[in-house]
Amino acid sequence: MQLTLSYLALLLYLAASLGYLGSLRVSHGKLLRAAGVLARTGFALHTGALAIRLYQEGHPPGNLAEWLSYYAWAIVAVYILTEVRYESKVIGSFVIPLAVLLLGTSAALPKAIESLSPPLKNIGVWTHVILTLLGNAAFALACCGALMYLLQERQLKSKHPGVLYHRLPSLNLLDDLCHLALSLGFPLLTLGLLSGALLAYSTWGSFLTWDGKQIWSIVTWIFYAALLHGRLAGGWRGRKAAILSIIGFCGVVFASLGANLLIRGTHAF
Amino acid sequence: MDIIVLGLSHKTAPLELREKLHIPESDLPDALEGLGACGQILERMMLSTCNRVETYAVVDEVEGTRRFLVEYLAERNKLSPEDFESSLYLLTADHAVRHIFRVASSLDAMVVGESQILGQVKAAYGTALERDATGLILNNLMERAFRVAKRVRTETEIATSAVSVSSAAIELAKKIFGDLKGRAVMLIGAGKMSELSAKHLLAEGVGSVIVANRNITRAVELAERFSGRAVHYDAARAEMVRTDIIISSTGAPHQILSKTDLQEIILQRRNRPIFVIDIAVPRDIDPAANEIDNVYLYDLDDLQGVVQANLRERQREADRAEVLIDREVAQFTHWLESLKVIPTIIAMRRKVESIREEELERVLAKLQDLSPEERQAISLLTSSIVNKILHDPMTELKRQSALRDGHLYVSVLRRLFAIRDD
Repeated sequence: MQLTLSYLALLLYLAASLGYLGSLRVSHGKLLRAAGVLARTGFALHTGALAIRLYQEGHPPGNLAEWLSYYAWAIVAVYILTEVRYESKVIGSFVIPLAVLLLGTSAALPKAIESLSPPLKNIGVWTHVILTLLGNAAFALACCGALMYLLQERQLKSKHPGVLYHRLPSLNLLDDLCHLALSLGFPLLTLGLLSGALLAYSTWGSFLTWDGKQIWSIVTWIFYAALLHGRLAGGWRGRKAAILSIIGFCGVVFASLGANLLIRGTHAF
Repeated sequence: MDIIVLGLSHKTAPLELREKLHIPESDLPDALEGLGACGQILERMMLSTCNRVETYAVVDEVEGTRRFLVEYLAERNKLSPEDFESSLYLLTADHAVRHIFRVASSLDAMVVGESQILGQVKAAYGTALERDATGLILNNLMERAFRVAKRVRTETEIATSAVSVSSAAIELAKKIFGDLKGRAVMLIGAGKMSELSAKHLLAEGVGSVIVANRNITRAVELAERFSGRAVHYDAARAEMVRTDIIISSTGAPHQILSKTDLQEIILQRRNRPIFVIDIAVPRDIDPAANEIDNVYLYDLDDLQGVVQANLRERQREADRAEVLIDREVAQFTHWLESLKVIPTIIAMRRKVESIREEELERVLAKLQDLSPEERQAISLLTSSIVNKILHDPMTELKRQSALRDGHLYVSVLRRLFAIRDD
């Protein structure tokens, strides 16, 4: 049941992606609205799938596949809120394909949970997982906004505006979106890392266990701290800030997927 | 009976000729009256705008009507037919229908998607309606044309992109700043061009206007008109830090802002974007300034380029609209076909026959003990009643249909007997 729902959600996200991407080429209000409805329905099914899993197993994501599914879910959740705030559906053309990518990878990965670290059932772990999850989702959104910013900026600078010029929102909106996403994502990541450190202390007696994910997350955190500081105090905005947001998100992706392959540790994935 | 379009437009005739044939609005009723003299024209309306002079009509015979119309136009405008005949186009049947739909939807316009034409067609139709010059077919055709035009407008983005230099500048500003409300604008140079641009921007709700000019009196004059502020040209630099949109149109023979100037300004603005429109010839601002992050510099040629790109975008949308129009033309032709007599008679007979059969079956089912001969007799009886009743109206219908307004009889009959167009 839970798997069927997940696959259905993936299919709906895929269909929504096609709709969103199609509407980038030809303006089509109906197509865009249909894509929105598909994405929301997919989100409802996805929520259902995660709720069933939670009810049956009762522990936070225990392997990479599960984490990616949660991550895709959080990204779509954050996106739906953005759509309401900005009344612009075009952002979905970038966010929903990302969700498809993550959920698709999740579906392709092995489902078995190798080893569940002992403390994986207490409330502390949940806090740590939810905070980092939402923080990373906000960074994903910032990355999509930054990508759109760069595309629109190219259109405006080139003086030969094409189809994207008409479809993409204004630079001001996109910069604002990046800023909002970063200023929400950063405190969430900070709290997520702190809760992780406390968890580590209570479990292993030390704040840091020096596994790949921890080290890389701290690097990412420092990067985002610098970026946000630059934006707030140094007036960094526009193209450079957008490029940095994208680099930052690459760090997030590496922390999620790759860092553990280098140095294995207390994070199972 | 045929639907025809006879006329000329910006695509076939130069302005000079269009001017000569133009019919002012006040003369339109009179012109319609004149067309009424031709016995072959059953329904008519005339459309005269600066881009086209066209007659839409339902006629008995095409070639005779064409000759009449050409002579009529020639006489009315004191021209000889040779002067304009080569610019005329004559469209009939579904080509005429498609043309009318395309005109109303602004696909045949000089600037595709411009919105004036629909109002002009509506007014022309209104005049014809008042003079009782239209009838069943033209009324239906025009109502459909207005519906198609509305669909094209709402279902495609044919009219959304900017196709004039000043509207392109506004569109760009909106793509940079989003909302223009509360943005600060500076005009450098107090010429006609800056005044016009400022008017457009104020209509979009910009917050404040500063006019900088060498001649301060002229600056004050212009600033007062926009309840803005005037500064001397030398003080302009300091103000630019607080300005989001600069429109420069001085008559200066040299550049007044270098790349370095703008680099400093953007630094002081803490990288908040600035949109610089340079409409001066020769240009006021170093074109290289566009390379600076968060500076968007457009000169006249750049704006023209945007207009061209937008026109291409409109053309893409127009291609989508054509598909929509094809469908509507097919629907209309279908309706028109239904007004023909023979199909109507067949449909009428089929309807009555099916009623007869149903009723007969119902009654015979109750009268089980009748012999086959008796059943046969009842069946014949019902047939002959039905045929006798239908005989007179059908004969009359055929006779009328050969005359003028025959399709009116068809239309009424279809309405009375609820015969659908299928």
